[in-house]
Amino acid sequence: MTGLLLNVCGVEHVLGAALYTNDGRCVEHRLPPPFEPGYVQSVSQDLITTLNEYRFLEAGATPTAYVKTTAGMIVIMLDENYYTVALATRGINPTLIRVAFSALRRQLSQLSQLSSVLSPQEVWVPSQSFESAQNVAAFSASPPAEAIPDADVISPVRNQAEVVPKQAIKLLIRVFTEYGGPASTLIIKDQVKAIGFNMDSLPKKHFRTLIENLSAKLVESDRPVFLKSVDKKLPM
Amino acid sequence: MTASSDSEQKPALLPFASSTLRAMQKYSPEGSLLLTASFQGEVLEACGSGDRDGLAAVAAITSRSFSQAVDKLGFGRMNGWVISGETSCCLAEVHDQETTVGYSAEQPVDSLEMQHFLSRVGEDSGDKDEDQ
Repeated sequence: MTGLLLNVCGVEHVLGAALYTNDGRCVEHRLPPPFEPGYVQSVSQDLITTLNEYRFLEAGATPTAYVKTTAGMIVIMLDENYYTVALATRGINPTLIRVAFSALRRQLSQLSQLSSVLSPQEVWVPSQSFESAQNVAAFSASPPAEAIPDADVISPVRNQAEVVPKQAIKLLIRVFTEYGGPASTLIIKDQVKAIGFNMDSLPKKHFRTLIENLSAKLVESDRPVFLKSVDKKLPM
Repeated sequence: MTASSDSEQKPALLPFASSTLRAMQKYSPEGSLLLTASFQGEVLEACGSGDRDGLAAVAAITSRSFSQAVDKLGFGRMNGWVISGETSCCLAEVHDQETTVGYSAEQPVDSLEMQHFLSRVGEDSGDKDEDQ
């Protein structure tokens, strides 16, 4: 335990929470039985995939999902390197958990600046940062999630100048959707994966390959129109 | 599901979708708000501006994915969800396995709007015309 989840779990009606790295390692969990961190992680994978797709549509911003069920609420916060899953009973105030997640996001951002790769064994949090699970209210005056710097800015791993900008990916999705239909985002994601990358690490030099591969997925009559539209809207 | 039962479902959904859009617009008067009501991924009704097929697809895919996760987790039955981003949001009410009403706005969802939505979904199924 590292204390990162104390504030989230201190929110009234929160049953528990777990923090994972984006490759699925559990950094910390405070889940009550019968919820087991490994199982929650495996169940959450589809949710994370969906949130990642939404994230690309949003040009890289980090979304949070609130899923209301007859039993309560599941809240998932996606960040650059981590994701957090919280379970709450009915009566949870989404605003309070949002504030607690904002504080957690800021904490994780600070940790990312200290260490580019955070492993479970390397996590360390100054104890004075989160002394009590009861101090959630103290964060009410914190800036909202929107005010937190984009985690991409602090990512030490990627050379953004060589990567296709997220805005360009977003625009490509829009253009391709005109010809490829509502499943276009998934098709593009598959095609990016097929050439060995993911949508936030596609090198600019492979962008044309992606466009040509996408064109090949369309009916023949749409291909030249699609390519012309891309060249007009996405000169790279 | 036969074609005739599809057509029986559609008229019942439309008034609810329209009243829900009006309710949402009270909380997001400045935003570019889009509503789609979809049944088995097919758009039944859309209001506002934006990519209606895109939203219907996002709502349907997301609802299916979230619903499966909720079921596996044994955490009740899903009523709805919100994805809150920094520049936009996407919300959906899930009526059953195949019927989803989705909303999106080109602005982030604020706390009041989200709280209202989340407190409302699943709670007023017997009072669908309250906003009319």
